[in-house]
Amino acid sequence: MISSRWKTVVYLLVGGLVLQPLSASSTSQLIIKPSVCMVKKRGDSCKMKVNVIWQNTQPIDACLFQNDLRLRCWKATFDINENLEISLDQDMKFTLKNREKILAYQHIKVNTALPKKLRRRLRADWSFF
Amino acid sequence: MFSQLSVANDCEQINDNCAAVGEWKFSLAVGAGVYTNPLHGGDDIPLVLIPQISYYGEKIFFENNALGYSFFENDQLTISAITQLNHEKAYFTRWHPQNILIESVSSGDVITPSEGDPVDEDKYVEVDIKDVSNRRWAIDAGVQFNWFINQTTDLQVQLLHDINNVYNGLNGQIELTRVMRIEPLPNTLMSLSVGTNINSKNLVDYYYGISQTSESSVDLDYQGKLSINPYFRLVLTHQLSERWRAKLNIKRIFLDDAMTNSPLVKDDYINTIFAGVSYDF
Repeated sequence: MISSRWKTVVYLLVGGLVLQPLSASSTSQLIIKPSVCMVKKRGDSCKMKVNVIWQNTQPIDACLFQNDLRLRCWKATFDINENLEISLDQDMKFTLKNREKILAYQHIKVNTALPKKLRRRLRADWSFF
Repeated sequence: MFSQLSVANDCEQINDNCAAVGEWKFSLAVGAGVYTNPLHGGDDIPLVLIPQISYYGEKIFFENNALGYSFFENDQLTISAITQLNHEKAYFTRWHPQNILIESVSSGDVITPSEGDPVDEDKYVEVDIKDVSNRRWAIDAGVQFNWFINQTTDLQVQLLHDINNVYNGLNGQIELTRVMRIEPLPNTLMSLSVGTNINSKNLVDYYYGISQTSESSVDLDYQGKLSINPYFRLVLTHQLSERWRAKLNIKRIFLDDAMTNSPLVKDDYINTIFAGVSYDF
């Protein structure tokens, strides 16, 4: 027969498991719009204003990074809805972090407006030897 | 084992056969290799760091030592005016002509004595340095035809003349290149070329001829003749990542008697071997 003390322990464990997800902070997807920046030709730098949206059920300190570059931080915030000016010359990953913990991320692509025109090369590879 | 590439003549993607118009391409290869020097007393040229640079505009192109302008272009044929540095002088830049002694009793035998070697001075006659050491760099200009036979095979023909009054002659090249994938090795391309360099009498005479030394009674004359030097080249490229590639390059030029009969020339071949990795910037 299971003693009442063991029953209490089991109830606490089960209750803890059930309630645990409710007490943890629930984070949403990071949305950065627009997610594509258009440039005239490859290698051109792209500057644009983006809208950053993110929500959390608990107040949390968070910082937004462009690759390793810290762009902006928020203290004890539930939600982020902010316009930011960004600059990039290639595809980059934008990451929202709480200290070292990654909360969410999104990629921003750089696309060229015109497709590249290609030409047949007129010398064989390594033909100068 | 080998398969054809699915790249059209009009280019659908950037690769070793196709370049983006208006963009410079720069790569640096590092590895080990050698470019042999066929001259007596000539040092082989070590290959360690090899930069490559190219640019293709709508009409103009630049590839390492060659500048060109394509004035006719269709799906199969491109005709370009080109100018490029003639590389014949390169052998003489790593050369020590004072070491060359020519055997006077039998025609054309040459020795390159090293320090301390006993030399029978009666038997050998030193070539007058003034006669053989004044070779200059030549700049060639002319026309280049590229015939793209099919998706993987092309023929290149060049006809060039020097434009800075160095050898006052012609040189030409015919080269057939075929590029293939090697199925058992993913991301690996093999480029195989066979061709021939043709050098006019004046060119061979300027670089490899020897005029009679005024003070010597021995006949040291060598007058150049038209030379036809066939060659083959194999380039294996294995794509390691987006920018890194492993490379193996093997080329052998078989020198014509018109060159090897020159007392200045020791070998009847020129080898180029290089193995390494290259990085595309």
